[in-house]
Amino acid sequence: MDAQEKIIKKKRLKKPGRERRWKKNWAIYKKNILGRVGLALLSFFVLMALCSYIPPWIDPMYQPMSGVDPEISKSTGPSLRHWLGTDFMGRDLFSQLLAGARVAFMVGISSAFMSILLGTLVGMISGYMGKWVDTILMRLADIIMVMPTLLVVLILAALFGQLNIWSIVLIIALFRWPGVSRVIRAQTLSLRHRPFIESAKVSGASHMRIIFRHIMPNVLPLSFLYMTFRVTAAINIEAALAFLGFGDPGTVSWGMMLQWVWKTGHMFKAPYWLLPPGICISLITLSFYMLGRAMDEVLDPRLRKEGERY
Amino acid sequence: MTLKVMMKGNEQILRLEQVEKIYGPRGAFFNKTGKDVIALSRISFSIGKGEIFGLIGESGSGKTTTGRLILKLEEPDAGKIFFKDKEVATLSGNPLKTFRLRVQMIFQDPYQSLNPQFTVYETVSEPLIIHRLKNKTGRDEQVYDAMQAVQLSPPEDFFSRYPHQLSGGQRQRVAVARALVLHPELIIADEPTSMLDAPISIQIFDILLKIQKTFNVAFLFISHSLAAARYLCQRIGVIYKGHLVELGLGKEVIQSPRHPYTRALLDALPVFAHGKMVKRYETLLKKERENTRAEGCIFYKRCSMARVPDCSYEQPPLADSGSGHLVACPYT
Repeated sequence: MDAQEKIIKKKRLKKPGRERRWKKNWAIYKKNILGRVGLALLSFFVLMALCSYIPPWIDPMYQPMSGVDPEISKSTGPSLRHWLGTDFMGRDLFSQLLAGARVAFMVGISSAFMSILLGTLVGMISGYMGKWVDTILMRLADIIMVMPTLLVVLILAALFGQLNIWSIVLIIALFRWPGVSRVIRAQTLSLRHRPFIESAKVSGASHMRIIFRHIMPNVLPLSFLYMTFRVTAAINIEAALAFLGFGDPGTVSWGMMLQWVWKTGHMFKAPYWLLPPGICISLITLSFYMLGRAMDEVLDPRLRKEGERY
Repeated sequence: MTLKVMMKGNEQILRLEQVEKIYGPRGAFFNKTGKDVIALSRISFSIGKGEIFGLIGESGSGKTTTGRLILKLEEPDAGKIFFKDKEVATLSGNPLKTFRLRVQMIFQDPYQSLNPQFTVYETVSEPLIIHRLKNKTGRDEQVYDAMQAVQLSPPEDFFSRYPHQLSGGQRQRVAVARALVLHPELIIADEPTSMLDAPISIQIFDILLKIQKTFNVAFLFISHSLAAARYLCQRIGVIYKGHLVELGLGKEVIQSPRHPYTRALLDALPVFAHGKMVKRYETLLKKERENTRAEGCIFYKRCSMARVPDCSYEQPPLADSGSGHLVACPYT
């Protein structure tokens, strides 16, 4: 091969770099209707969370927790001054709703991320190593799995007094990994004896490389799918806790708002107060689910439509 | 039993000595009674540098197990496997990594042996990355060359494709390229064409032959097809129920088979030229013979040439029947 030919060859050597891959994945994601709707919904909530800093900055009476409208001392309906109305002591509901979005993201994403991280790691190690490692990890998972999360958190709350929001996040994460690890372990078991894993072994790949380079990309779609479920579950558990009166009293979450409606007897009298947090909880849950579905398709080439090449 | 190795003054690269593999009752897939299954029984053979050695047998005869033992994917229960005078079983750490550099495998099912998440480029270049060979441009070149050697051209058209976008033949060629990219000295090809149709198989065979010539790679070609083995292999070993029953030059084994089992295998090949199936040897019994003993020749039950009861006493050893053609049957 002469020099010129070599140069031509080199020029034609193109392979997907990291940027190209991101672009490509985005192109696949964009084609998915569910993904687009989910992302739109989610960005709406992100916007809400970001905007939560604006009302208190306009007027201190819009502080979601401590700001009280000096002229109002009971729950009132929507008005220009209070877009969604006020609660029983004159706090602005709209700014509470915005602050609730912030809390929901914080609780949902951080606890889901922690439990996914833990669950995926445990599942992969358990499935790949097998033998006694598998036995110990899975029995541990069983023990934790059979504990009813809400009940344990309630007991802990009763023991230690009011829990702060980060403790709640951590507890939800610690109780929610076994389900993920079970699924990931099953997937890993089915992957472990697939020839491409053995082919990697024959090529000299280390255990670490096999776990993180070969098994992980193949279980990640599942992890992400479960992350969306876990975000959902975490938001729901936090809402339930708050509604039952065991939430962090220093934080305004949507569950907390629902509890205030209930506690002050406005349940069926003030729909402007009851509905927004309820709808928000449902929609944020939905948006995470849609997001997961679309991501699934990006991460698993086999789910893509036939004949499409990127 | 000492084994005479017939090599044309050639250096041997792989040697198996009395290798045995027994699956205990825990591998309860094919054994519900809890008895041990002997997958391999005292197998000995060797492969020379740049030679294609064919290991032929039916399903469950232990041919794949042999390949897995050589690659240290499983450990033998007895016997020794030497790769260039180093025992494979004792390798670990860095020597094992070097060994993995020298011996590669092509798997049976190209639909399973490629990671679905990897592009063709990632699949083929991975061995180079694992062994930290070359820089990026050097890797690109080597991947390019390997892809050209397996006739996937132009290679850059395939680089960013995923396995699910390739045909079976293309996939298997990617798998061959992956095995080839490290320039190994021995490639174990475990029925590389059993999932492909005939014309594609011939293509793959020709690629393997070309690779053997240009890179001087030795092959252990594992197959159930005598025809394929004849096409490719310099020497052929026939394995039946974990026992090596015949071993010799490819030409001789096919043209003048000595062991009744090899003859039965040849009979099983359809001959189209005569318009009807012609059986030349008729060594297979229509009805299986009873054997009250556990020992005896492994082919005793199905052998029409067997002498009753002489053959039911012990498994005859592989013995030279002239000019280095080894047969485990004293009566041919």
